[in-house]
Amino acid sequence: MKTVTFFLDKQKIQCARDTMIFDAAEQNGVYIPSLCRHPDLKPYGACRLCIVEDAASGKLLASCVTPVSDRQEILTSTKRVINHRRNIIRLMMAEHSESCLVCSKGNRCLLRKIAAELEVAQQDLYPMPFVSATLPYDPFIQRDQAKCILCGKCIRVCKELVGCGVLDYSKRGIKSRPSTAFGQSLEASGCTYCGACIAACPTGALAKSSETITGTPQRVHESVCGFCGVGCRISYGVTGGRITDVEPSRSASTVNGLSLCIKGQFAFDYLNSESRLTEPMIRNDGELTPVSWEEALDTVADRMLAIINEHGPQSIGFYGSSKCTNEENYLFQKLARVAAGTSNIDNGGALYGRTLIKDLDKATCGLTRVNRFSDLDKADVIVVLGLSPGRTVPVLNYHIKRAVSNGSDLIVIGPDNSELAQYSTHMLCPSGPLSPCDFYTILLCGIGSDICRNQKEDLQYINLFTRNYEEQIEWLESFDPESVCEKTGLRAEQLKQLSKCMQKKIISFVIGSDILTDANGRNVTRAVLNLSLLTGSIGGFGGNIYPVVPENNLTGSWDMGTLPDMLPGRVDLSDPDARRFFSKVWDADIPKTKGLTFDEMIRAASSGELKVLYIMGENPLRTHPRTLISEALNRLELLVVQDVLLSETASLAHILLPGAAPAEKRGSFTSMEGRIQRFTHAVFPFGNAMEDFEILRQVSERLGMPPGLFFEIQEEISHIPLYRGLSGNSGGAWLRKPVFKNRITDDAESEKVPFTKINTEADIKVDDRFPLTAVIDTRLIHCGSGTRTSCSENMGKTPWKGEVIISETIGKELDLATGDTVRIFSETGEIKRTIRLQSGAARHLLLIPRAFYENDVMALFQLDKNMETTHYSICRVGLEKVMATNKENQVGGNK
Amino acid sequence: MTLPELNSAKVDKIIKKHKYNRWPLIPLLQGIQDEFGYIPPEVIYPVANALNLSPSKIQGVIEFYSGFSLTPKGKHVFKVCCGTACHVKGSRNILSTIKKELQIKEGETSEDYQYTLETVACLGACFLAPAMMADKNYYGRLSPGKIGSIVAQYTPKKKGDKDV
Repeated sequence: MKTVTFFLDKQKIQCARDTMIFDAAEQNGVYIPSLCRHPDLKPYGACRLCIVEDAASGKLLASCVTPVSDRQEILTSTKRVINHRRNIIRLMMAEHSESCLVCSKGNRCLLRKIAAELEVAQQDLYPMPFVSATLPYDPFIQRDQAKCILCGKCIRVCKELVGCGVLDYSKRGIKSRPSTAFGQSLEASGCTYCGACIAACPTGALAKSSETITGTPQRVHESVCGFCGVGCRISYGVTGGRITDVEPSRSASTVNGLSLCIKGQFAFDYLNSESRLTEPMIRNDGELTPVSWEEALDTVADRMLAIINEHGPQSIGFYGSSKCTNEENYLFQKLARVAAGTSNIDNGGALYGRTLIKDLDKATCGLTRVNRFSDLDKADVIVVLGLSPGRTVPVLNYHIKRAVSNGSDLIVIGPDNSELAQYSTHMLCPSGPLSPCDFYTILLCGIGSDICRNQKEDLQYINLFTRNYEEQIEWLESFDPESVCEKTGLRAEQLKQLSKCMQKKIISFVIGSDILTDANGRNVTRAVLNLSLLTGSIGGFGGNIYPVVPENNLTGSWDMGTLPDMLPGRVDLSDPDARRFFSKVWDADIPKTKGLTFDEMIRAASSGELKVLYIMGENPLRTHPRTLISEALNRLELLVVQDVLLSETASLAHILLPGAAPAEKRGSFTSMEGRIQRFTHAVFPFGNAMEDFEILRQVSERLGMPPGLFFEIQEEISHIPLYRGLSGNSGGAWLRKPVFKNRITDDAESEKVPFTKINTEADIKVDDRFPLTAVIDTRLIHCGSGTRTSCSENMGKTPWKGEVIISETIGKELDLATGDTVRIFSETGEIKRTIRLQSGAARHLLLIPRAFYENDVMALFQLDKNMETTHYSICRVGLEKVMATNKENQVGGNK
Repeated sequence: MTLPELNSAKVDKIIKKHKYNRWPLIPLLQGIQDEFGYIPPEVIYPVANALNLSPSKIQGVIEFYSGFSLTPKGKHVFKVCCGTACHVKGSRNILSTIKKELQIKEGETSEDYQYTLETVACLGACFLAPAMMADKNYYGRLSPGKIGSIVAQYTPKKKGDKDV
């Protein structure tokens, strides 16, 4: 790298060639004001505030767009420069509306800050007429064009960082302002409300509609978002002891940068919702009545001990949450294993694909454990399988779009990927009578087979890092192009193109949550792994596998061992060494046998074998087929629910313990990237509620287990090899990647990643009653089953009411139009929904959104026959039109 | 006269012609404007899809250049110069006369899409002040009296009308 030496305010500075003067100054601690520059965006040079003087020529240069040149002498704060900067500010002020008193940007306004720095008190100019175009009202983002200073940040973040491109300049000269196409509303122009433009705006031109009343928060508190698995760093705005605002955090190298998503940014109001639990309660004569904490906790412990004494530890079950912190999950499983002496512990992660992610981790020996989003652009090709990540984990979608604009190819194979269509090189919908997962499997195997046939596999990689290759070649034979095309209904050249696009390329795969929770999803993840190995992508070569994780701490709750068959640190319960290790740490015996999964607990409860269930932070009545669960829960002798909201499940509880939401407690979450992030309380728990950790601590104390203090538990966690990184003082750490002794020379077979054989006996028998396949989809405004997001008033303001998406072809066949109501039925139940026809949607597929109408879509499923995993994402259904008279179902869709 | 109907086959043809060129947007928009006389807003979406640009970007480009118009223009466009020289030589009278003659205001298009009247800052023909353009022809050294005969040249002949 060539370097350049130049002088900055008489100071000699060396930096890389092509560095902008602004950046060189910043690196050397010299402050230059600017309104239009942002480190994540390309230099733009709009505001001209960053002018500096070239001593030799006396020229004024915009430092953010001028690269340094050798031996140049730059002066950053001469009288002349300051004078010019002042004039620029004065001109901006002359055109700016004088509404600072009521402006929600308040003290965060960059224009005001720089004006103060430059000591511009009055502009002393005739005020210019404001541009005051009335913009369509928007429930979330308020645009005040009179405050716009034309820095172009909103336009650039939307395009460069989020890949949406909703805004651009309209008109020119003095009338020029950022605008949507045709001045439409944001929602109509495809805005996803990620809020990046608000975060980037230096003035109050872009603000949150809801925020105007509270203005600048009294204080801000850095934290981690508690909705999806991305783990965005956020900054809570706190006013009067309540969370009144959420902004992306300003700290460096966060996964989200300037962006968040509609949930993270606006759904925080569930924290202040009326459904929050404030008092511990005990059911007396069928009514939940408030009691003191002492009484509630004593009752929990006494009744649990009594039942354990009478029926043994197997009569008790614990259901933890993939939304609670690592510390809470750790203590929860310790409570189950040590205090109650049972392995009957599970968490809600199984609903969102934990089982397959776990399998994948095991199969790859942890190679894909840490998958940073920022590494996506290291891959030549990104393959997105299944439902679009844009609605479950929006920030991943932004990264995909950025990688594509940096030159990666994108292949999209899924039921509805209209969001990524514009960016994709190839796009396919599952077609024909195959179930979507079988389609993906056969297609991927077909591509693998084609790569092998053409001898385009990465043999060097295969020899060094994999095993079972010879067998793989043999069984892949059966996936010859003809049979693959016949089964999938693709044309031979389509397959050829796809295979060509992936040959000799480093590939990253994104696996949608519908695949991870389908019965045939395991085959897809195996096919993905095989293809990754064939192309030599994973393990530090640039490619990776990104399973979409829709829950904030799915990874963490698994790592902490709230599972019937695993101990903390992703070790099997059957491993005697691990058991010995934890027996020593906990100074207690650990039950050896594998416990019950949640579905098994429900069965055991129905049959009366399970007497007690302690549920922390989950709402199975909403996440599972409701009637089955409520029947089972009603048979329990004791149901303890610890939650933040009066959820459907909480209202069945015998004892209700009000816990704390992420903003109200401390701990750490592990994101889908493998990033462990600590956070502390932003506000106190709501009402008389208590931090979940504290509740668990007091319960375990009463059950006779020596409780650990918070930092002691955190210390214990940091002794788990996977979590060594946590011991540092920093807020963020990464999961420990597996260390291979010597991957190049060591030929220890056990450390090589094996190819796995795939058996696809694709079931193409279609029951005439259920000719269509329903894929359970997620919409942007809901997280999981929507327990929290449906309590958010803000989310209720969106126009999205959970319509079912149907292909136009089926619409025509059944004589349906957008807005019609249909009855969708499966073998177990039925729901009614309005529909939206979409051209280009796959013919046999319906996309039914999760979480709307109290998540009644679960009625289509039965409790799984397969004991091991939970499959609530794809099922066969029938469809029929309902005459237009029945409208009752359309009210209150967001609940 | 009525507007030419938006023919999506024609739009597709123009898009196809330019799609794979370097910097295709402006030539493509010009092609569309030549074909339809203006840029029908409905074409923004197909153009955006074809060029992989956002619709707002395309609208921004169209609105930036005064040569592009999102509203239909008349068959004949009159541009009256309002530059300094023309102003001194009485362009305001010229403008008010032509407004009366065409019965439209500046910036407007007649209901039958026959005429559009525009003002421009300078036609670069100051030696002919006051000047105006009708379609691609210049008319200079104007006086209010001459306007009628110029407009008449662009009036469609009806049966029974005498030549002017």
